[in-house]
Amino acid sequence: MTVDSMARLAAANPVPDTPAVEPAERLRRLIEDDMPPIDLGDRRDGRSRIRRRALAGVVVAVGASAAGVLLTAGSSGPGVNVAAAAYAATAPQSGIVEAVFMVHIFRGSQAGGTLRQREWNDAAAGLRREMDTTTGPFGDTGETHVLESVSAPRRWESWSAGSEANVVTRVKVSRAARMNMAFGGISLTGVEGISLFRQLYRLGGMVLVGREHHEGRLLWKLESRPFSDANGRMLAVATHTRLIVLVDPKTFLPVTERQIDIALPGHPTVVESNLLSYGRYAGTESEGRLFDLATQHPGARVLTRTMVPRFRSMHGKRLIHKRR
Amino acid sequence: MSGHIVGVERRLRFELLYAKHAPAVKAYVLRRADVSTADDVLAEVFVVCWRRFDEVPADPLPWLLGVARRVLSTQRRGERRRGALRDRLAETASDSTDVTPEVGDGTLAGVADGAFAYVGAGALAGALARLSEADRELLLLIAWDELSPSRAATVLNVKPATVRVRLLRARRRLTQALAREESEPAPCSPLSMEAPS
Repeated sequence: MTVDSMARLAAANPVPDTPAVEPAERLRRLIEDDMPPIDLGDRRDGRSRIRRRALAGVVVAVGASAAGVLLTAGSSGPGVNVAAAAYAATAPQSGIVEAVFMVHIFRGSQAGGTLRQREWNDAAAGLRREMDTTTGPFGDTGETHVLESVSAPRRWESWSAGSEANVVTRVKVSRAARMNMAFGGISLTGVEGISLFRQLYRLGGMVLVGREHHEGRLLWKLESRPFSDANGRMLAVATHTRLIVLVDPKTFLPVTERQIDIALPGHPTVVESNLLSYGRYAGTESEGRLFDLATQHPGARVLTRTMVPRFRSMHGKRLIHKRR
Repeated sequence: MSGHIVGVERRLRFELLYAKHAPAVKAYVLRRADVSTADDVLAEVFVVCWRRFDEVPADPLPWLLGVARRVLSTQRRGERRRGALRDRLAETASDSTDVTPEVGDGTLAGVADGAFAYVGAGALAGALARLSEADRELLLLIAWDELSPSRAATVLNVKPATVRVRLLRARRRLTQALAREESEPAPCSPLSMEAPS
């Protein structure tokens, strides 16, 4: 029986074969280019940007080809594969994406609260700025708080309105501890919600189930669901929750994302995020100021901290990683 | 001149090591994270490897997987931190100096959690969910990454003897959890994949 369970676990291996990797020569060149110590700060690193752009290009190419295949092979009622089209519509591209969401929280400790989230993303440069305005139900006072944060290669910043001091906290992050926050989180708000949809789509877990009227518009309705691949392996991101995505029939943007609790009677909505606007524009060097909170809040005091990653050695000895 | 030769030799050794082990490291990451993360994590692992090349042991794969495990954990913490940050704002509305993130606090945040996405909602997923994170991580290293207990011990940074004992117990717990899951099958509601006409 023990052998059985381990054999079953082994049979569920999602990557039974070794995948292809980039040539070593290219990685070595990137690493050597990476080596000179640079004082971390607001300065953008050109090499890193090239690398990120290359990676973003690969993602776009893979996304576009996947979408292309599915658009031709997987079309159904609407004439196109809606999930694939939504995936393609939200693919990272050069330039800056600006999006505004309104998030309503229905369950949990923040039930009754709303969050207006405005995001700027420069995926190629790894830059992301988020401005969150939260309202109630904190203490039933209907108070409003504003929190801004920026993640950039080797830099993370935050600023909050309502605090006693007008302070921008800037954390310099070493390369080894690079924070991959842009399009990285798994929550159900804002662009991150789009990120969740994209992850689910890549896993094959988003299906078209029909249409739904929403604020006077008829939108395509996608749902996440457990999915088994050709080998019978089951894929499911969550067993207790389901993501419902309403897609605009013209732009194929996911305009509403809703998380429902399928473990509770009536499958109540936990949180709903509505896309208010979504636009792309070409980014320039001057746009870097958009991702610098000290520039955005000129009267703020800047507190700078440096974060050094720590690794344990094989023998359990704690090492402080130092750059050359 | 000798420095140049050492540099060339180091590069060659690094490239050989990369060619031999990068696919296995990438497979390890792909089993626990999404495709878009894998190349980033792989690059991160080999940047660490290049910088600490003199510390790489004779059997490099478990060491590389150990680094990958930490990189993945750091990423997971980053994701969780964002959620916690918003919660904290809601609860305390405290000043912004309190929101500095922490990295490398010694705990590895849910490295095996991503594996759920691939196992799904069946009995196996249910059984895995009943196990502790430590059990799950060890079992997946053995079953998916095909490591021996002693190599898994290197990845987890514990003694091989400890891993052997833990493995025995984890296998037993998996078998029990699987039996329990199969005696209580979860309901499944199929959904139409077709659009309405």
